[in-house]
Amino acid sequence: MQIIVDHLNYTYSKGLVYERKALDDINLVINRGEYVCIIGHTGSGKSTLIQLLDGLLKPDSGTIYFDGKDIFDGDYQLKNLCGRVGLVFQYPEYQLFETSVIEDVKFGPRNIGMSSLDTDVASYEALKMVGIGDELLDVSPLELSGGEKRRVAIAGILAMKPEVIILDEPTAGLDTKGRNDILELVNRLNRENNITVILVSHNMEDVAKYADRVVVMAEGKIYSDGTPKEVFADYRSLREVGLDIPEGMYIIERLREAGIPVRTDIMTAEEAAAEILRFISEES
Amino acid sequence: MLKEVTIGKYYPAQSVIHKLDPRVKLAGTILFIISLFPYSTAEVYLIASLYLALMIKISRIPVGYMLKGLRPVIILIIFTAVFSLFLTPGIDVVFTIGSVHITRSGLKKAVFMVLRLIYLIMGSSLLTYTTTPNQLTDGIEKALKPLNRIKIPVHEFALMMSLSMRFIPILMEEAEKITKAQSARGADFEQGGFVKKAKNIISIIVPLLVSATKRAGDLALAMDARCYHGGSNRTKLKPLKYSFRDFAGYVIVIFYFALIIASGQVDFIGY
Repeated sequence: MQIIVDHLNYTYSKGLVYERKALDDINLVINRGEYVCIIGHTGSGKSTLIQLLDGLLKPDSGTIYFDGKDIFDGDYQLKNLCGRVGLVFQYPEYQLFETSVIEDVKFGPRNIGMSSLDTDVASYEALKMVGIGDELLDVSPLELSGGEKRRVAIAGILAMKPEVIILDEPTAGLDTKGRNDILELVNRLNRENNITVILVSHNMEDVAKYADRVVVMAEGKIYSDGTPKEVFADYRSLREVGLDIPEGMYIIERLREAGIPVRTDIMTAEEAAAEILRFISEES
Repeated sequence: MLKEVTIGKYYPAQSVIHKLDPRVKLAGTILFIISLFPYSTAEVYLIASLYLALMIKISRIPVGYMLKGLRPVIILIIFTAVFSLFLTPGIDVVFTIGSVHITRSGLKKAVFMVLRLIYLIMGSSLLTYTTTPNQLTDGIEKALKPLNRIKIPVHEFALMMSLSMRFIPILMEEAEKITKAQSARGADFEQGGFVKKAKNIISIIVPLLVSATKRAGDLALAMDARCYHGGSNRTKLKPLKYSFRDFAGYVIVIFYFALIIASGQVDFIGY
């Protein structure tokens, strides 16, 4: 139990006409090394939750325990938290500001008080991890392509050596290659470096492919929580909260409805294709 | 942090003042501001206070919200008070602390300066709280239309104004987002020495400038793509038209101003 979210409540613009309850009694336990996807319609509270997880917002009531310690306790050093829980915002390339790529990546580790040597090594390693070559180290980050900028921004978080990495729609606005690069990178961080991953996504195919666990949020509450298969199996109620199921699952469901006896424990497009081929070859 | 700034924001509510023609509100605000300057007497400020309180009441804007708008300028107010209090020379000394004399005229000046500042801010915030930026620019554009005759591009000015006002909340939101993103990278905007703080502020300003420039370019391109070419022959979706309510508004505003002028001539209480 690395992260425990305990009866968390959060309201925006409390006491004004704009008042809006963003989180309503959220309880959640995230274990070390898990790959958790948070899905939910726009305004369901996902972004608020991840900002609270990084200590950037203060809850109205309830709290979060990280490694057994209450992060909103007065004595807790929130500054140390942002190094241990790395948060990659949506469109993180907008946060780049230094004169060179390597300097920008060093910003985070320097802030959390890493020694100069450690900073250099961690920054270089982080850039290698995200696949930025040596020839780009001294280039201005503004001259990079969209996908490169985003990878540099992610490296800026990885250089702080986080134990948990939270990503808010890291693939938004990228082309297929850029997307696959980032998702593979995140997957590698999770499997090889045992970093806990919390990923906010709107893409159900990605969720089905990578996540160990899916948390569905709707109107500031946790709507369902389980393995992708469990969560997506209940696709009718998912649709009620404005979410879809992966395309592969959708095809299989339609085939079942048409009376064709295909297997139902299928999520990705590849699995669906294989199952349909198997079915056809068995029939003929 | 930036959400605290309420000056210049629209506050949606159902009130007569919200529904008034923006030109009436503009004229009212300008006259109210002018009325605060010529006289520093208790009568004048009593009338101004009552008038402002009445307007706030009618506008249905919570008093707490109004007061919150003063928070960013509180330092300025304190400075003004302290300077007028200690640095006004005179023979009418009330009491002395060390070598500093506090004079009766200094006290009087401090009180009126502080009131003046507070009323200035509240009065003009009342305008922006009750008027959307679009209405406001429409009002200014229409009120200044005669200047077109002497070749002043009123429409272009109005457009620039409404664009900049339109972008204030967007840029504030963006600044907040970037601030959070940099905090997530361990940047501390409250503690640390001057150099470290300045360095951390740069980490907000540079990305903000980059994105503002990009937005401006995108906007110019979008306007070009829609063949926008300025004010001539453009019609309005909701043209401004005076109704009875607006004339009544003008009468109240002028009556207030006349009352101030009249009461400024006499000085019953003798302050």
